[in-house]
Amino acid sequence: MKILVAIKQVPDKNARLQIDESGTRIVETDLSWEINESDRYAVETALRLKEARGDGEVVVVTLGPERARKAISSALAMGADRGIHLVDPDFQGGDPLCVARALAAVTRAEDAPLVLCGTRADDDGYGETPILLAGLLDRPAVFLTIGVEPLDGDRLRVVRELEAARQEVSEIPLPAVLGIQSGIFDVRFTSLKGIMAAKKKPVSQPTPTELGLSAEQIGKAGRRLEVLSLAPPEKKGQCEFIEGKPEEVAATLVEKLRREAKVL
Amino acid sequence: MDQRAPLTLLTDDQEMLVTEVRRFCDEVVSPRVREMDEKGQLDPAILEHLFEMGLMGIDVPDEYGGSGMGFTEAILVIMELARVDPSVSVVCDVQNTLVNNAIRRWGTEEQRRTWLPQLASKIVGAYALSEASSGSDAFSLKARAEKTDGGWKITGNKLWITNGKEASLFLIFANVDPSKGYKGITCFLVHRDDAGFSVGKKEDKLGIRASSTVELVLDGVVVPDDRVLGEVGKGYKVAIETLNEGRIGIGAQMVGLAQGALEHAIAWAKEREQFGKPIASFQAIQTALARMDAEIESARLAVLNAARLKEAGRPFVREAAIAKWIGAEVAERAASIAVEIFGGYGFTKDYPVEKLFRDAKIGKIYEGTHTMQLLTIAKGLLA
Repeated sequence: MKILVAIKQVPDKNARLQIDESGTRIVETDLSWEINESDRYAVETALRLKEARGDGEVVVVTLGPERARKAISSALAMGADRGIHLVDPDFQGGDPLCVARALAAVTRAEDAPLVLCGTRADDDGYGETPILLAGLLDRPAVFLTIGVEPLDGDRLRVVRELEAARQEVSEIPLPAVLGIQSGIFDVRFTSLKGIMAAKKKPVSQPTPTELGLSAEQIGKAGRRLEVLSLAPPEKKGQCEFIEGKPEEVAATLVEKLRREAKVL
Repeated sequence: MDQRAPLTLLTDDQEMLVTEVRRFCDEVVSPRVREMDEKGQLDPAILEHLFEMGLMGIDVPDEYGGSGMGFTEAILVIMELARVDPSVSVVCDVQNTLVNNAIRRWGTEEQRRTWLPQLASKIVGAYALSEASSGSDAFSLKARAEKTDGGWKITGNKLWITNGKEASLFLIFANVDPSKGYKGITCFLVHRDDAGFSVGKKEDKLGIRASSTVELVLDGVVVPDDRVLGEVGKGYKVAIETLNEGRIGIGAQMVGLAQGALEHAIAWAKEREQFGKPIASFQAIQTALARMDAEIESARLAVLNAARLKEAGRPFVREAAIAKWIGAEVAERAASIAVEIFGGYGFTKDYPVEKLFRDAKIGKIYEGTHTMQLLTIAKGLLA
């Protein structure tokens, strides 16, 4: 089975982000980048599925500028078989729907029955791409996936994470799109041989035209969602300890939430 | 990469390698550091990962089952590992810079095909030169090898052998003809299972406690002729030239250790408050951190340049000695200042810098003492 994994390159978790003069973008100079956390789990899930079945191909796709090539290399070093880089300038600067359209075109071109995405990007955090993608492809989608198991016939058993440590188990038919949640199992360490092998794996760079897309559907030209401004979260160093017996503490807390915070 | 590129600018592969080793350190090594130090024992899970990731055969070529990277990559890995645990670092260092290196350089094609794939994937190697009475005066070693029919019979004791407890393959230096002095010294490949071989006392050490240091006992160990590494009587060359490269590895270990100490000190200085503000806001702390950083950077450049010279096939004896010397200087000072910045906390085992302070000391002792590095440098100056 061919598994397409959509990954995004995002700023390193520990990077100090600065907002540029326009107030709508972060400064990219001297920033270090990595594969989005939940996307790494998506790659790991794909590799495990391939290993469990003993056959198949794992193809990683990313939409992003030249620098995003490193994210593809990292995924190839982990064990993915080949990469697709949507690097054409017309792809860049779009909103989640534009990204989903591009990914839908790749999925069709690749004829991939299973697409895995991370649940959400650690940078802009929309969390929309897998759902929009499934919609465009008219496929079932499972969000917050924490387990995937192939079943007989073209079906998958999928476990979804719910609130309060509850889980939902479902069976879905292929083709499908899954949004993979992070933190569930260990993502493998990339071996040095993997890094060396990655250099020999093919990475294609299809243009929008080759994928049957027009400029208005994707990138800057296609976006309908505009970022007006970015701002760092305000630092409020207020912390108050309420002391006493549990029931008194609870009563005081409710009172404060009602009167001072006005959230109840 | 262009040979004129800045030394600290990594290639994409190197960046990926360093990122991954760092993740391994954070997720696997870091949680085990204290327990391994206390028990004086390497966690087998770490060794397994080192092999799986290909960190035990970094610059062993692909055709011998290695990772197919270069010496600089080995140096970068040794540095990264030492940032979190210098003990784990030396396990990787000895394997790559001494054992694999010696077999690649001096081994016959058959020896390479026999041993390198195993070293890269499953067995630990150790380098056994020192004895109770021969340290800096290495060639006064007393271990003897007598010719037998089709092989050699080795007798003697080796001391201070790094990773000896875990190792399966040992490079044993013994003299085949003491009347010829150092020209009798020969290097033998001895396997742990060879009859007459045993591992003796394990040392209870000040630092790098998770890496074993043991005595080896060779009680008439008989090995076939194909276990001689290099030529008979040329073991002194194997020893000296391997150690030259090994020194760059120890320099890297020390730079990594110092970097770890600096990072701990920075985090602590930002968090610890005195007189109503973080101690990082005091210039006394700022200049201490800045000096550490400046010293570490200069040592790092020395190590990376020595590695690059070695890889370029240029002379590097002086540079390797400088790399180890300055690395050991900087590591000891950085770890010491880090303890001071932590204050009383730094003096306890509950905080990581106490261990780094103990670990740093070995840098001035093994693979050629601190003084011997200076004599090596001086020899070049006055030649």
